[in-house]
Amino acid sequence: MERGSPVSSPLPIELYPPLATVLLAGGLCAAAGFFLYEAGANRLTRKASQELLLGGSASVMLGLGTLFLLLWTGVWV
Amino acid sequence: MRRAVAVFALLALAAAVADAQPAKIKKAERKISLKSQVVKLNDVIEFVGVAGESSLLFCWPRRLAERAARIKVAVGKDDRFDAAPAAAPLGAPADAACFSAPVPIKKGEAKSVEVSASFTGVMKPNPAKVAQGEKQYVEYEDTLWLLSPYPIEAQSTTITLPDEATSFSPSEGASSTSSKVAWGKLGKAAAWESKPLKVHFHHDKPFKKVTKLVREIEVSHWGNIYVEESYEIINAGAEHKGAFSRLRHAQQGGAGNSFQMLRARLPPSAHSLYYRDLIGNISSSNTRRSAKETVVDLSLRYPLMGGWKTDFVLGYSLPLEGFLFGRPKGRSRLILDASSPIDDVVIEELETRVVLPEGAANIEFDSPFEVEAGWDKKFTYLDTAGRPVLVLRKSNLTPLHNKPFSVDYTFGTTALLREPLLLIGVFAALFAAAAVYSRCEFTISKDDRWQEARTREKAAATLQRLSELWDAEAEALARAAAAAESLTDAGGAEAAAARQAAEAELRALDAKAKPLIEALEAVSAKAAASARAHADAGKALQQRVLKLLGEKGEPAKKGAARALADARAEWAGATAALCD
Repeated sequence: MERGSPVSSPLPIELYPPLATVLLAGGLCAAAGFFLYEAGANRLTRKASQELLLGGSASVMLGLGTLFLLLWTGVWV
Repeated sequence: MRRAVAVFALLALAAAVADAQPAKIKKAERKISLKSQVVKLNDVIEFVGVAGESSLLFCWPRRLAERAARIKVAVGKDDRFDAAPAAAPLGAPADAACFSAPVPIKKGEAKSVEVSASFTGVMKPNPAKVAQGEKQYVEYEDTLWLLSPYPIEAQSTTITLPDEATSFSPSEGASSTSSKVAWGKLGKAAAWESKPLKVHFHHDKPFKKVTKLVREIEVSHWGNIYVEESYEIINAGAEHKGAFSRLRHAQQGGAGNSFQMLRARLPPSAHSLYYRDLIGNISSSNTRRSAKETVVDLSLRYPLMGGWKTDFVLGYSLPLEGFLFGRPKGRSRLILDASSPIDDVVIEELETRVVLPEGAANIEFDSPFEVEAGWDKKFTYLDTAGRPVLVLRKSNLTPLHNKPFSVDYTFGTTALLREPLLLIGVFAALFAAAAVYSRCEFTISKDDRWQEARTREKAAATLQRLSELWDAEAEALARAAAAAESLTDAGGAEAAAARQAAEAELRALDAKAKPLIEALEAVSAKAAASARAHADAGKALQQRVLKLLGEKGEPAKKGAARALADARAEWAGATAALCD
């Protein structure tokens, strides 16, 4: 049966551990920043754009970080 | 006239009968190898076409044909056909089962055809039960002549054995040596003529039979292929009778028909191997890796005497490289071996489950042998709709069946993003919930304390905005001081321009600050008072900086500039302190 060009992972597998660490660390910082903002804001000073920025970047980094953490530990999802 | 018609009719009948004559076999050499637990037949048959046929029939007694694992017909070097079961033609004895292969043969043409067939489980242990340490003897029954719908002119039958035969029948015409029994010159045989053949001999190889094998192959495009194989294995030789003495077994070095070792040959890039059963990990194994293969020597938990069985799970992971390939139109092809990597086993039932990533579509497969295909769903990590599982079933496999099979499917990069997006969505939902919560008001009664808190909030908000303006002012002052320091000609046009720009900026900021301070007054007098004091201090600083810009000459500038810088820093610090 014919083969084709080899399919490989979208990123080099050696990058998974550093990516997981960096993304999770960054994501935790952004999450902390988000919750600090929420704690220090009241009805008048709270801005949705700031919440979106902090929460959005935190969720993206934490989501991707969790994915690479799973892949690093051998749970090939 | 009538006589002419009768003769004509007879001739026509004769011609019709002559046309229906099948091909003839000029010579048939049968070689039957009984050296392992699989009976391997290799027949070289020379056909001569009589009336021209498009396919040829190959028959065996039903008892053997039922256990046929593989029948291949080869013509010359290039043509290979799989023989498919066919109906036995008229005139066949009741217990004949036939297979046909589409080998065309013209009238008068001579063709040499090689048939190779494997049969499993047809060697009967005789005696059926043996005690520990006794030798195993088996019996093989077949037909002396090739069972065939075609008349045969000459044939020979040779049986190779692992050891000398204790008895064989028929004995006339047979010559036996230490590992062979041959009937060299068997004369003519008509179609379907048969005579039984029986050989009884000592078979020392263990009969390793896997009754059920479930192979689960899970593909992840992030970089790994999991393979997990669950085996149920039995010793299909002469059954064990009597007691089992572990001591005697060890002293005899595992004699008789028992076995405990299995050897699996995995691809060289296999990693993360595990070998366990219901109890847990089985540590009696040995793995060595070479450039060509990874050899795993598995030792079963206990030696399998005749009739004993056990089960285990062998699992390993493979990288994508060498197994997953890209096909045109964005499709991917997975190529793996179709059967077990363990040497010398006969598999009774094989179920291969190929678990493809969630979102894989248009799944097709290509198998080296006939399989029954079905579908299933598997829910595992990060799955929402489930992963499609292609289930392929086959019975009666020998090690010769272990050829590559392929599965084609479409799985694009967007489908790969499904999993990270799911995780991001979960975290986003968490943060959104936090944002919604902070916007909710849960106070039951809005009393005085609540009102006080609200006014404090308003004061804090106004102060925050004021502090933003004051920070901007501090920046403007810093820029003006820097401009003053960098100017060489203090009284020139540049200085005047800088001074005017600074003044304009500061005036705008003051204008913005005024309504805020007034709003603050309405809310809290104390905060307003401290705000006003701060604003006045700021105005004093402004005057000093603007004076710098308007001054002529150099002297005392350095000290004055530093003092001014300190004052500015202090004022900026006071801004921050005010708003805490």
